[in-house]
Amino acid sequence: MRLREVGAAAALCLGLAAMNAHADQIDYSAYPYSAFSENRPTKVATTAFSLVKTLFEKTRVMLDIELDQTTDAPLESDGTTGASRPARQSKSSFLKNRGQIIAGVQRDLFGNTEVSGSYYFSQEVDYSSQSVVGGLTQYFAEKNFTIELTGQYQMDSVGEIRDDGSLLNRGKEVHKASLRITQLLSPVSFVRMGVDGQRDHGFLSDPYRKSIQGKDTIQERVPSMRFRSAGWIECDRFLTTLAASWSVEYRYAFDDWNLASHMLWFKFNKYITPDWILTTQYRYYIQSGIDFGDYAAGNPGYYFAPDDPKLKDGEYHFIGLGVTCYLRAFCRNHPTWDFLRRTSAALKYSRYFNDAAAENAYAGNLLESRLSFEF
Amino acid sequence: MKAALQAATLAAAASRTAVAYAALALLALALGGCAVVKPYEREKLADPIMNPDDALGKQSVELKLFSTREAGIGGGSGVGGGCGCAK
Repeated sequence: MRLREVGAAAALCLGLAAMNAHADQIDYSAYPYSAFSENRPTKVATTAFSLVKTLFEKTRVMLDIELDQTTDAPLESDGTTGASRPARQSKSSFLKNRGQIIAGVQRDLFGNTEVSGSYYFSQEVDYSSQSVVGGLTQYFAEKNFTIELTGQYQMDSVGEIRDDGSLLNRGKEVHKASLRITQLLSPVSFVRMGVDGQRDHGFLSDPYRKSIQGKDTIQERVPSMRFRSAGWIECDRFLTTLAASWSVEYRYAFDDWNLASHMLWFKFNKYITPDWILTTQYRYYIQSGIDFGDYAAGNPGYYFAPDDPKLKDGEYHFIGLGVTCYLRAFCRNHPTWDFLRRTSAALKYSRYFNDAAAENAYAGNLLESRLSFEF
Repeated sequence: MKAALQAATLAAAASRTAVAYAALALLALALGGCAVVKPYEREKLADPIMNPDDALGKQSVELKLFSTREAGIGGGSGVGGGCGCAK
């Protein structure tokens, strides 16, 4: 019911934005669609709509609506929505819908300062989440150096569909803060870096995940508190002679559950023609397994399911290949198609997989398409 | 005993965070001496291929995908999701 109300509010916002389109400028709207499948029966289809519009010269509003439909969600979780399902339905066909909406506003103050705020809400049959995000961006030295501060408060309701069909809800709170700085190095290169911090508090277990301890099957139980931190750096460079660019990012994350991870992400993009862009990427991720260590020593009642891929050693690869086409290419010889002049279409295929032995092998295929309009 | 162990864990995490912040601050100071790039010199920096997230759309789908298999803190706003995202 609540999602329906939010949807109605979103429709109203869209209507207002459309009414204002003549007086102000619509900056951007996009219609992404993605399809995801795993090396199991799971399939996820996602349809979305995004709009960014400038109002009163210095204010931008943003609206993002997303709908996911998951079929045959696995017992742990599918790869794009995180949907899982009760074990008692493990033998039957399962369909799960999820809706998400983000509304935000950004305001330019004094030329070198920007403030932003957004609200997020998502809902599915056994999970809902809402979040408020605030941000401050300060530019220095003619915008050569930028500092961004972001804070986020998130409140989730983690539901469990019980055997009798009733729903048991438990709460979770998340506080996040991040600092990001950007420095222009030359007319063709820049570097970005930052640190993130996150505090999770509340029900942090998956309500459907069980752990076998001897002869007993018990509910997964993890500590109710977790602190996480990460530091990252990214370098980007435009290659003028090749009409291309490259980007490399490294991220190190750790937390008080004794998990540490390293991530390295390469991207290479090139103009094939002035209207076609080829994008390629490779991402490598490795993490150590969770070790409750001190928590477990003081609290022997903590268990987590040993088959949970998120909590044990893991190594994942991600490769992607995509093309973006600016439809202005088709307008040159067809003046009646001029409305497509600032439109682009993108198609991308990605594969996410690990090198684990057969019983732990994982592979997911992601196909994304996107139609974007600029006005 | 339990409180002492938890305090020790938090202290170790805090010290690593402090090291990360210090490294970032040093790097920021080092970059402060970089040449200033004038606004009219930023044509290449504003090119769509320098911001592939915009060229191909935001990467929220990928970030969600990673967050269901990886426990390291994510690279985006990382808003909520299904039960699999609980950790």
